Amino acid sequence: MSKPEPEKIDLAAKAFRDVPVPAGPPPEILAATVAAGKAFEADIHKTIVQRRRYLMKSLARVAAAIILVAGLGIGTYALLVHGSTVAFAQVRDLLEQMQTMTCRIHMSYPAAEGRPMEMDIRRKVLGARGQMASEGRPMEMDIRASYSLPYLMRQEIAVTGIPGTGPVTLINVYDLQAGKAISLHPNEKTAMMMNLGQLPPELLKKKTQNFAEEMKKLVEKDGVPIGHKEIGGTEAAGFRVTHEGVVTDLWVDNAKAEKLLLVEMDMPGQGHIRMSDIVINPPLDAALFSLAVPAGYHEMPALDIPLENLTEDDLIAGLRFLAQNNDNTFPAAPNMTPKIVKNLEKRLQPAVGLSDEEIAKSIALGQKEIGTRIGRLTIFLQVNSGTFRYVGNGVKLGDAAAPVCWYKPKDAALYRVVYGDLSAANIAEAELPKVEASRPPQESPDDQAAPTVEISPSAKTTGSWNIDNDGWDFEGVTALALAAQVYSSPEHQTKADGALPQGHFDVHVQASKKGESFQELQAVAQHALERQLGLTVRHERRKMSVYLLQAPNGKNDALRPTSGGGQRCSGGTGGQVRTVHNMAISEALTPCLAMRLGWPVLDETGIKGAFDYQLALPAEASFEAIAKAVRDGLGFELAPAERELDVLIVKWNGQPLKSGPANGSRP
Amino acid sequence: MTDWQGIVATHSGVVWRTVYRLLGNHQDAADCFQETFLSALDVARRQPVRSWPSLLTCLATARALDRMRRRMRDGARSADVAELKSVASPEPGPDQRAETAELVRMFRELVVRLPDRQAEVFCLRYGSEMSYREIAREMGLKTSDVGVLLHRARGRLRELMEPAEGPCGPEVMP
Repeated sequence: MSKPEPEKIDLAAKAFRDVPVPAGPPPEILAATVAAGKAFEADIHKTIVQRRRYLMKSLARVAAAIILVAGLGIGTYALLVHGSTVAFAQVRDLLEQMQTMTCRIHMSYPAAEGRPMEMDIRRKVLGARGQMASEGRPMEMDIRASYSLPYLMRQEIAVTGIPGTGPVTLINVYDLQAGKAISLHPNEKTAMMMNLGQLPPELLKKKTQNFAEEMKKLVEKDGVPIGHKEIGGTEAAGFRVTHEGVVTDLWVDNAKAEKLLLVEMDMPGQGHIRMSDIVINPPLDAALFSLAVPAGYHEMPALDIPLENLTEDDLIAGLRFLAQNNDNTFPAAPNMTPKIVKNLEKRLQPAVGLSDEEIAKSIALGQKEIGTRIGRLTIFLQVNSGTFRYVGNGVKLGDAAAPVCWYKPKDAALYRVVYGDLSAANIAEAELPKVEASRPPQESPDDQAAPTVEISPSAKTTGSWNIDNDGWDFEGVTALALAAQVYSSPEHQTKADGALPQGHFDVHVQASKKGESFQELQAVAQHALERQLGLTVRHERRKMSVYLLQAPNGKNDALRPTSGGGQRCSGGTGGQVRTVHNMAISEALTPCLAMRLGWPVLDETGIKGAFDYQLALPAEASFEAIAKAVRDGLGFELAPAERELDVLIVKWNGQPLKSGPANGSRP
Repeated sequence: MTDWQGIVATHSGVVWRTVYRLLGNHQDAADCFQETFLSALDVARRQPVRSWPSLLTCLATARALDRMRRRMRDGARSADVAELKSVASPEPGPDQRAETAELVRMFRELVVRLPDRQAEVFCLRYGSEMSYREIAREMGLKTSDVGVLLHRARGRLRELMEPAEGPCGPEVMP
C-alpha cells in the first residue's frame, strides 16, 4: 500500500482556504439574523423575568409569613413591653377586656446609607389592616389582619415594591397553639401549609395569653409627662417611660383618658415603632380562621419552618445568614433588607436550563433556608427583646473586635455579646458599650436624599433589565445597549463613535425615599453614565434604511377604536399573539415590528388615535413572514425605504469604570 | 441585553466565510449563517463568551459540517458545479484551475468522513487557522488533545486519499 504524499493534505487545505468567497451575507440574511436573534433573546428575557417574578413571589410569601409570625403581637407589642403612666390608668380597664383591636403601626429601621428603612403597619387585631414598607419603597405590605386571642390570627397582605414583580396578595392564617399556618395566594389559587412547630411559650405568654397581666404591670409604672399635642383633631397628653434603653411615649386623649391615641417606641439599633389609629374590639367573623384549603385552590408542598427549641446558635446562624447575603457586612438592623432580598434573589435564581420541577425544588429549598434562618432569628429576638441590643450596622463579618449585638439570657447574671466573627462571650452589664436612644426620625433634608446609581462590571453576557419608578436594574448589558436604554433611544438608532468600554455591566439606579419621576431617574442615570463610565452622547441626523408601515388608501378597517381604559401591551415576540389596548400605532405596533425586524419601522399610515387590536406574529423572523402577518392581521403594508433619522451617537472618553455606588446628584 | 446587532455586524464576515467555504453555495451558507448566530446566542445565555470570533468560527464550522454530513447522507454533492468552476486563482490556466478545484472538492468530501471531533478540529486548524490553544478553549479540550485529534485526522485523511488518487474514485464518492 503506497503511502500518500503528506503534502497533499496541506495542499488541499490551502486550496480550501483560498476558495473565493462572494461578498456576503446578503443584507436580507443579515437583517433576518438580527431579527431572529432579538426574538430569541426576547423570549429568553421573558423566561428569566417570569422566573424571577415567581421566585420573588415565593420569597415574599415566606418573608411575609415570617414577619407576621415574628410580629404576631406587633399591634400590642408597644403596649406590652415597657412603661406606663398614671394618667394611663383608665386605659387599663379597656385593654384588660380587649379581644379585638385596630391600629396603624409605622416602623422605621436605621439604614446603612443613612436613610431610614421604614415599616408602616396598620393592623386590626380581630379585624386589622396594615402596611409595611422597607427602606423607602422596596417592600411594602398592606395588611388586613384579624386575630382571635390568644392563638388564632388571619392576615390579608398586599405586598408591593418587590423587585421584578408586581403586587403579591397573600392570606396567611395561623393557629399558634397548633404551630401551623396556611398561606393562600388568591391570584394563583395556591395554598401552602407551614409547619411552625411550637412557638416558645414565653413568647405566646408575653404577647397574648397574659395580656391583661402585662397591662397591669404597665400601669403600675409612672411616666414622665412630655406635654400635649393635637392628634387627629384631639388634644393628647404625652407620657414617656424609659426602660432598659427603650424609650416609649404614650399619648392619651386629654379629655377622655380611656382612649389611647398614639404610642411611639424607640429601640436602639433596631428602630422605631409608631402605633396610631387605635380602636379596640371591632366585631369579627370566626370563620376567618380556618386552616382548610379553600375549594378551587391547589395545595403546594408544605413548608417546614420549625420555630421551637431556640438557642443562641439560632442567633448566630441568623446573623451569619444576613451578613453573608449582605456582602459579608452586618446590615443596619437584624432583619431582611432590600439589599439582602436582592442578593438572595440573585443567589436563588434558578438556572435557565432547569425544568419546572427542578425550579420548584430549588425555590422550595430557598424558602426553607430563609424561613428557618430568619424565622428562628426573629423569634429569638422577640423572646429576648427586653435585653437584646443590635450594634452591628456596618461591622464586617469576621471582625473579632467589633460587637454586633448582646442580650441577657433568662436568669443569667451576665450578658452574652456576639462579635463580628460570630464568637460570643460573657460580659457584665457595666462593661457593655453605651447605647444612646434616639428619637424617631423627623422629616429632614436627609429624607430628600437624591437617588443613587451603582455601576459595576458584570459576569453576565446576556442582558436583562427592569425599569419602574422604584428604580432601574440592568444586568449584563453592554455600554451601547445601556446608553440606548438610559437615553430612551431605539437600539438600531444608537451608534458608537469609536471604541466603547468593553464587557458588560450591572447598573442599579435606586430611587430615593421621596420618589422620583421617570424623567428624574433618567437624568440621574444619564449623569452617572457620563461621570462613571465616561460616556457622552450627541444626536445626529443620518440617512438609514427603514421599513415604512403604510395603510393602503390611507385607511384601515381592521383596527377597533379603543374602548378606553388603561394602556396595555402584552404578548411575546416569538410566534405569539400581541394584544394591544388603547395605544396608538406608533406607541405599540411600530416598536414591536422594529424589534422583530431589526430595523427602524416608521408609522406612515396617517391614522391617528388609539386602538385595541391583536396581532399574531409568526415565530419565523423573515421580513416576508412578518409583512404577511401585518397585512393579513391589520391590513397594513411594510415597505423598505430610506429616511433621515435622529441617531444617538455614543462616545467614550477612555476613562476606566469608576465602580461602586454614587449619589445621583443632578448634573 | 446582548448588543446582538453589533455582534452580528462585527462578526458576520468571518461566519460567512467559514460557512461558505465549507458549503460552497449561497442557500446553504445563508441558512447555516443564521443557525450559527442563534447557536451563539444560546451559548451566550448559558456562559460568558470570552471570544466571539473563536466561538462563532467553531459554531459555524460545526454547523456547516453537520449540514455537509446531511447532504452526504442525502446523496448530494458538497458543492454545486458553478461554485466549483469559480474556484480559481486570479490568473490560472485551465489545468491549474481544475487541479485546485479538485483539491477543494477533495477537502470537503473527505473531511466529512472524519469522526465529528476530528473533522471540526481539522477544519478549525487547517481551514480557519486557529491555534491549538484557541481550539482547545472553545471545544473544552486540552491542548494536547487537539494535537492527538489532528494527528488522527491526518492519518485518516491519508487513508481516504489513497484510493482517491484518481479523480472521483468510487471508493471516495458517495
